[in-house]
Amino acid sequence: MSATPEGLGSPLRAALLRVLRRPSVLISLGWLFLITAGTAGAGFLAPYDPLDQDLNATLALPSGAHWLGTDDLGRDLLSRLLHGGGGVLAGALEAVVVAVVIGVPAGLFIGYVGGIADRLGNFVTNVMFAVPAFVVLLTVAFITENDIPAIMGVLGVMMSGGLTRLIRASTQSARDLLYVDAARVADLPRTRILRRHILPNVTGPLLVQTFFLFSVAFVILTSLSFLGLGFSPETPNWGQMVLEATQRLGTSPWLMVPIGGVLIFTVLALNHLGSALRDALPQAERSSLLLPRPSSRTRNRAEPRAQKADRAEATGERSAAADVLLAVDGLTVSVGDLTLVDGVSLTLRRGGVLGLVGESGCGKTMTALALAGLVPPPVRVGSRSMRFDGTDVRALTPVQRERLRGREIGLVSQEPMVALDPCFTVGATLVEALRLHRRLSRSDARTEALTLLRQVGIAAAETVYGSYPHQLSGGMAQRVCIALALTGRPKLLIADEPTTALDVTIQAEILDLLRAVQDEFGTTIIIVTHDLGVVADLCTDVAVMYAGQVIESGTVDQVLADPAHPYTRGLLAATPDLRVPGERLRTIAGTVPVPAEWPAHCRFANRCPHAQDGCTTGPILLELVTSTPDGPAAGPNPAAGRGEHEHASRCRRTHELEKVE
Amino acid sequence: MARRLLNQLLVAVPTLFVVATLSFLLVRLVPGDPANYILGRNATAEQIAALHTDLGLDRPALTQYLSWLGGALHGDLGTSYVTGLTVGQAVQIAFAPTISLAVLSTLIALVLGLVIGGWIAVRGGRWDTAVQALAGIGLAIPSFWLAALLVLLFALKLAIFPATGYTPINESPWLWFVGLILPATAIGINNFCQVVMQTRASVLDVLSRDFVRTLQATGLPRRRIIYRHVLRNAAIPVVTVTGLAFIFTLSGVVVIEAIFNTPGMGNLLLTSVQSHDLPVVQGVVLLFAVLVIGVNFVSDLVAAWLDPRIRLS
Repeated sequence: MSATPEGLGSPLRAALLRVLRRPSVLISLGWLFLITAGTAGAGFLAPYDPLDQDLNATLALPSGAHWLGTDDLGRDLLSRLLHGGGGVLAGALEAVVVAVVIGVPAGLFIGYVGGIADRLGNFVTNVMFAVPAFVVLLTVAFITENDIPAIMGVLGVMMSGGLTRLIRASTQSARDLLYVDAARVADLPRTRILRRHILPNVTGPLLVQTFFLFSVAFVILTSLSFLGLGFSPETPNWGQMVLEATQRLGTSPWLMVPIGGVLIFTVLALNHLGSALRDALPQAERSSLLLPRPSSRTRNRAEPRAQKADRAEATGERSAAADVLLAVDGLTVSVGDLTLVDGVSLTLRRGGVLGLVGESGCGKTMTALALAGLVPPPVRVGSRSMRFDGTDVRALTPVQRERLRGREIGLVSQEPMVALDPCFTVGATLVEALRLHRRLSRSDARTEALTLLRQVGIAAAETVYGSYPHQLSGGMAQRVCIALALTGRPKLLIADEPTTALDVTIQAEILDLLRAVQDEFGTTIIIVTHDLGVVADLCTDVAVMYAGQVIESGTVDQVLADPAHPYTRGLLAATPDLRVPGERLRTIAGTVPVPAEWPAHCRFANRCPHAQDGCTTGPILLELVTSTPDGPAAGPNPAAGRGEHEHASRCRRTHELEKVE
Repeated sequence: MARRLLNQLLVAVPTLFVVATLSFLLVRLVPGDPANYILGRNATAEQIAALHTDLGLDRPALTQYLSWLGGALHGDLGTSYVTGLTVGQAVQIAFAPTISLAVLSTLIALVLGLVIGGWIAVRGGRWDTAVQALAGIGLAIPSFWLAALLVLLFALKLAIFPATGYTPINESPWLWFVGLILPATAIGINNFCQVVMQTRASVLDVLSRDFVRTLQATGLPRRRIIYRHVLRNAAIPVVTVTGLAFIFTLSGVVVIEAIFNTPGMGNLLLTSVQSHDLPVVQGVVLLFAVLVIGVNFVSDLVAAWLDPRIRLS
């Protein structure tokens, strides 16, 4: 969360402004204003005295004289509604104010101080929760002989328990924020820290809760008055009006309508304001990863004609050669108008290890997930051609396409600690997958699962088998994830930054394991990484990505020994393991542009030390790099004839720069 | 886990003690002399004094409290001033209708809410929007207003269900069920909508977790991922909400039982407060507290059963 340390920080204000633009919120606010103003100004707004009886017009339906009709004594319903709201609204407001006045300081205090105060506070709120509020209110109503302020005060006290808990939780999480720690270390007075640094973080949830509390208090109060408690029977009041309506239910059901509408609209408006505000508050936006049902998905069609500029690199049927496992051409991933992966073409030999490398935000992970068929809508995936193991993937039916997952293509993801279902043991997860893929009996699946666990280097296989994911270390969990990916014996294993979330000491072990998997099972591997060291260590081929495009590709020997693209050179110079010893470790100035700002010309130009005017005039193609600088390929390259081992770079100055250096 | 439960039981004891004390204090604050209510307006001073001695009301408050507390520890909550039944008996009679109502309505809310909430979360689109809007409205309908409407429609006009009363389940399970439908609907509609909303939010949250991607990448069928993995994870917060809903229902029974004239704890409380039947009021408040604590205990137990992270902590 990016909360600001200052005051009513901009996130909350931004949320409020965002909420106020929604029509439903404006309607809710309008309604609340209407009933507040209406009841406050009932004296001169109401067309009749609410107690005036017109015995010639009892139980009348709406008419010009009585807009909402009359009750059994001929009293005007609209006037009674206007006069009857003040009591309940003011009462509910009082309860909320009491709850806030008690709950906020109490929650802040016990949340911040912790220890015994926290335990005591917890006990008190537990007691409050143990008594149904309504039971107490009923008794209080009798004790105080229907003294509304007293009843609502008690309700406020009882509601403060829940509020205390909420504020306590928000305070505890705010207390651990870095800048609050800093303020504590700086020895600022405690009240100042609470007021300046913690309260702002609590304000959002508090505001949301206030609306909900108001709606609860409102309902409780109308229920009380419905039971004939709390309010004098002489003056009109909303709860009582329901009671009066129910007594005439059989003969004139209309009476239920106006009062019902008012009650429902009011609660609806309060709840809506609360939830709209809650949804608008800053929070980690995460979208569903669930893929649609295969039957409901249309064929995996190509994006509407990918860029002409890339047509030159169409590899055609040639890559369907027997030793090629995967050949994808012009892979595009987009969401809305935004292109995240822009015409990526890859060719992968059987048994090869391809490194997909680049900084964060270059589209490596998206590319990997798209290849695995794991990108849910609204993100769209398209390609000019995609062949896997000799089959045209785009010609498969959705159901056949789905069958590739797990059986042909496996995935190892970035964060092993959250990659496994926390509710199931490692064993249960593996057995479920094994039984699905290999139609094993329960006991055979168990034996096989244990074998797999040993194969991925887990010595205490029995223990891990019975463990839940949260009991495993990161490295152990990643081994389990690799075992899980192997249950379907996939030909291709896609590892998406498999070591990023792990301790440095564990990283090498996981890389060794992947290498062992490749050796033992002959699995072809795509490894996504930002670390050229990993590429040098593990891969046979490499594709460097920048801003959604492949900017250089070739074998590891070609690319690392003789990088052609300035970006690759920059990455190399910034990799501690690979730089020339004695040379300074360099960085690449600037950052990867976000997809919306990708230019039509060379996307690296604004960070490139070798950029010229010509680099920013038009699209740059991926062209072959020939080892001899004076070779024939100085001009635009007929890439159609290119094989999968050839070294290519997306830089118009490739050959000049080679001469320069 | 065992320690966790033991801990909860240990906290429950002082909580109950505090609630018992508060309920004692609360009813002592009711103005007016119970003896006047029992004996009527024409009672002589001697009669009142005799009754005071009888009921122990002439003793100091502290003595009364201690003797009540001592009795309560042995399960003796005193005798009703009005009916002459022991509080235990009175509460026992009233317990069945209330617990039937609360359990039935919560159970229906839970099952339907889980199904519908899970369904709209996975499906999304127009149905999601529509159900969300409806649930928002359902959440805003006051139960007593809805109760009246249901009575009008299904009891008075269509005469499908009885408007009032309660049939014990051992007399006729069918009549028991039919008699509870209207009150359970009226009191359960808010909870049902709450469970729908919570399940929807919870399922969407689980769907965004990485393990869903892992399971899809492993090749598990979509249906299996949803029913076996997503729903299981999503149910954990729903359990907590359902526990709260049950407690909310216990609060709501007072109003609903008054409307449907159900001889439950809500009605018992209402009549005993009105007739200054102090021992019964205390007994009912205490029983409510025991129920709430019990529900919290059970919902914790279920959450732990579903979630190994709680179970093994």
